[in-house]
Amino acid sequence: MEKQLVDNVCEEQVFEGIYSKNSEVINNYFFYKFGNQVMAEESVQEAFIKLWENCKKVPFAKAKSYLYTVANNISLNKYKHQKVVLKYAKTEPQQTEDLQSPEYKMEEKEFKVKLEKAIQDLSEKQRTAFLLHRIDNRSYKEIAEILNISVKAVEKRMQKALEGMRKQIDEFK
Amino acid sequence: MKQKYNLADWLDGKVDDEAVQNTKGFDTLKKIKMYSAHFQKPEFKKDEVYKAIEKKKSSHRKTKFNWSIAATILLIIGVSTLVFTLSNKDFTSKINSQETVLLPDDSKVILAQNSKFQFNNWFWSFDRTTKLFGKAYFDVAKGKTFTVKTDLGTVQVLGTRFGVESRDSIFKVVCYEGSVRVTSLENEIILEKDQFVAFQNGRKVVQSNVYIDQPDWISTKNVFKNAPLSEVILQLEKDYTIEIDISKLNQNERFTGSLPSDNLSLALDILVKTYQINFKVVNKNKFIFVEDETR
Repeated sequence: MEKQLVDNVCEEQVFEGIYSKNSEVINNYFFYKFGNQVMAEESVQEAFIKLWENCKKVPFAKAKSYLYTVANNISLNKYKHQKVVLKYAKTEPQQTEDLQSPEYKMEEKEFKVKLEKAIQDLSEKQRTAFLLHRIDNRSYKEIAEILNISVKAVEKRMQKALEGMRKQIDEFK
Repeated sequence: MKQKYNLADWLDGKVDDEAVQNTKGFDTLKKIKMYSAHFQKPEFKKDEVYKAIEKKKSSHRKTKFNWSIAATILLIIGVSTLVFTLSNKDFTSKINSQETVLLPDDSKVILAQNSKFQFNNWFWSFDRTTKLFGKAYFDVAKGKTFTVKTDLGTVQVLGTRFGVESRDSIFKVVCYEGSVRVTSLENEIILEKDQFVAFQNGRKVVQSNVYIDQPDWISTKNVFKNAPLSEVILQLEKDYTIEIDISKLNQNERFTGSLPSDNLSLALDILVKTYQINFKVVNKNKFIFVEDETR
């Protein structure tokens, strides 16, 4: 009831709720962009401080898109970008050691390294979209929202990312 | 259109493998799809970052708040000090002459020799406070409290005529009309008309009656030294509230000597004799100087 009376995000609880819902994906977006976790976290802080400063002007429903807009502005040219280094999860689902031959394991390892390299070599735009989908399991619609582009543009980036990576992996066999 | 981004649809699970299995390098694509789902999420210290935000939130608001208030206060102080200083008017009489100061509300102050007087022009309508070093005679127009501050004491009045002298350790006040409140250190005295008080080092030494209409030190003559004639005439016009036309005279004439300020015919006579000129009376308040035709 109170939230409806004063429709902004200055309420401590409202603000915290927005943080717990959105902070992680914003952090990851920054990370996929910069390749640096410290910088990503600093940028998360900056984005939420901006939201807090303008909390009176931002209605609850607009908070998310406000954050994304701020995040996109922050990421424009603030940091010198680094290589995005990702880690594979240690336990891989649905695969038991026994079923795999040493040869297969070897091949798999090689492929993983190649994939990492291919991701690093993607353009920033393709990489952020691709990783938000693969790692954060965001739908194309959500990614479009985060990147402030159309769903079609997201699809295009995914397509290009796949084609580009496939080419690189196959050609450097 | 759908066809164009078929790999994107396939990656998103909208179409199955059969729809794209003829794409070049499909095996690799399949591997990309599989292994790219095996990456770990970046390690995000969610709670720590939130704590940092909380800290900045409070300090941010606080410093921002303080800064704007501080800046505003500084600005107000700065501007008012500037205005106050700029609109402070100082008058210092020379060691051998008096000076008359007209205040914005037509109150009149006659400074005795070697005295200093200060008032604030802009704030006059809010605060009729003046400062005096030396001796002066005040003829105060009715209005808000009129204050004369000196090093040795303070005089407060509403509208009256009085004299103040503050020099060395002596503080003297004479009231010629109405009443005034005199404060020197802890002593406070209300002076009525024709009363006089003197303090030395903050202690009252004399309180008596006086029977004159204005201080005897106020000079009844104006002294000029090599002054342009126009200046002399201006002084006469002020003293007697008359108009004098000197357009027919030689403007380059200079005057050295003294002219009475309480005897118009004597003053005019002195000028007539000095320059061998004559004057015509237009009416009671207007005179025209002309060359003396009898010579």
